[in-house]
Amino acid sequence: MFRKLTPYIFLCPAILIIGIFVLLPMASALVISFSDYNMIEAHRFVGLDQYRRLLKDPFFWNALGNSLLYLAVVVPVLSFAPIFLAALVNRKLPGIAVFRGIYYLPVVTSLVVTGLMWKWVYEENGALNFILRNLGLVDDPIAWLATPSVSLFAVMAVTVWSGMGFYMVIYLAGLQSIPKALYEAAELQGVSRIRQTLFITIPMLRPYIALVAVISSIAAMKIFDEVFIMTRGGPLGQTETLVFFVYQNAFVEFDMGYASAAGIALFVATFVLSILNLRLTRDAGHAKR
Amino acid sequence: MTSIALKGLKKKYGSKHAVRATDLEIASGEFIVFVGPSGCGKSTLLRMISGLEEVTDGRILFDQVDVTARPASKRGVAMVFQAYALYPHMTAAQNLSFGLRMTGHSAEEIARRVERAVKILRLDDYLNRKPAQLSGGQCQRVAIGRALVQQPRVFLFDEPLSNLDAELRGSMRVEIAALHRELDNTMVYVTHDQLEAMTLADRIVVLNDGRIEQVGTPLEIYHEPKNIFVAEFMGAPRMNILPGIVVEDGGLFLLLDSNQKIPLAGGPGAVDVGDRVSVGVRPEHVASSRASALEMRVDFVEQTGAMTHYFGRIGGHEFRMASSEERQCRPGERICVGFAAERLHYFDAQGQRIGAEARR
Repeated sequence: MFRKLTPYIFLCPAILIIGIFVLLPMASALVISFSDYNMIEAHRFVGLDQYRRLLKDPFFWNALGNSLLYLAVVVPVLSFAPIFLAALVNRKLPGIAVFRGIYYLPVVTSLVVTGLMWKWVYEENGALNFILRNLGLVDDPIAWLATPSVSLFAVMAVTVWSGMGFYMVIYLAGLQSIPKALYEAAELQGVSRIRQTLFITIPMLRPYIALVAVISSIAAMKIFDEVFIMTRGGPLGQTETLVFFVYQNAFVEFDMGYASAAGIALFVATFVLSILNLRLTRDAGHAKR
Repeated sequence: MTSIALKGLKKKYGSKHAVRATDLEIASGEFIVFVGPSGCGKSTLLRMISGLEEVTDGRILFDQVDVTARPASKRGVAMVFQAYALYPHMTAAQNLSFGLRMTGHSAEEIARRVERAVKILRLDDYLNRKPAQLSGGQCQRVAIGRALVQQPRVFLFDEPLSNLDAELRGSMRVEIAALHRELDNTMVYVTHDQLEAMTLADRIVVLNDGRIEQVGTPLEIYHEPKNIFVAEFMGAPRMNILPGIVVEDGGLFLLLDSNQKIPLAGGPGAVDVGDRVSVGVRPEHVASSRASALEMRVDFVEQTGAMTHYFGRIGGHEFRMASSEERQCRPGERICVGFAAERLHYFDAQGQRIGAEARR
């Protein structure tokens, strides 16, 4: 009897922590999303009113649009660019470990620090404008974070910069798991390096690409820190993402019921995306076999 | 068909010599096997011939043409790897044709070559399967097929059977021998398995510590090993080596450290009283003999069915006997063993063979 219970006893602490800090808040968010609640007055049940509000709210659609655009740009970049970086640091060159460390540095740097640093880089008299003006590429400095047409892309660049090292390490593991003999066999057959990359490396990395796509998609949907530190959703809501929209309604407007409804919408979107990605991952796994 | 010549070929990794100055002539159409223990440099030598490994010094000639600086893809060699090196995301058929498709061969040419390889290696049944769906033996057949479709001048095999179980190794060995008979190509084969070397090779190259110890036909290597290393490495169970001092006692004898004597009648004339000499005798040439004064203490007995192997010691030295008779023997038991004087191999204090010519 005790033997049968042993695994559950070991699982208890984790289940307890996940239950208290994840499942319970999720359940209460679902309950709150059906109510009007401002953290001071008592809950008032309003049925699906908050969800109806969401559907009619242009700010919600704007935030959802921004999050999806974030996803559409950042995920492909983060799924493919680190492959080249990994290929670069996979070479056996003297001091290559130092480069691996340098590329990984942004991953272990706090996003608050990263955000502040990039805010300075993007300043009108910051480093980026200084370089562009000296190269003669622009005449007048660009207000990267204050210009509606470029601000979201400027924030995206920070996400890409800070995530690149992490995905590079995943691809590096992938590259190192490909047996050297596959390339040697191809070399003896006269297959060029480019074709070796296209027809051996990329197909062999498919499970890793799928994994990176899943992780980076979920991360992209949850973007908050960069936005909070650098733009606070501005200018004119151009960088307002779904999570920032939830934060804004919950902790600035104290409209908890509405924020919870938006949170549930975010959860559904992320959930659908994860299922889709998992399916792709499974297909990639099959392709490998 | 292509002949290969290695002239002073060397490979160093830092200060470590992987292959020391090596000279070797491989005749056109010959099946040559490099054999030796792990780390002896046999795979490095093969990889230098293929062009996958850079040469530190020396030259490689194919049909008297220097190919040392020629890249692997331009040498006209095909290689079969130990771990198959099949592309896991491609079917067997795609694996076979990959190299040809990537190098601009016409569809008809590819189909013709693949069809021939499929026929020779009987691959029809699993052409549409991926490597993960194939057994080790099937994978290796596809890998050989992939080498075959390249129509190379030279086939290189890098321990191709090491990942297979014993039974499959035996059948694949027969297939590779048949393939050589059919194609008549020059084949260079690396193995650490002396049975593979003996059964497949036209000539065997025994390597140790980056240098060639002996080159010869399988039977030359077996019957006339040039030194103690070759004598012990080739043959299973390995050759018994008994060191001692030559003494005179109404004839020449080898006095062992256990004070037992082995008569040297019929031995080489080059030994003299007081010389430190080792004699070698293969376990299959040893028999239990009441007439002999040489006593072996048995440690354990191994039954293989056809043969019984007795492992034990004579004095302080390991001694083995392989016999077709199933004799009951308990560990610790002492048995008298004997052998014909003409079966003895003689080695000097440096481990080099004495009187090889005299024994031919």
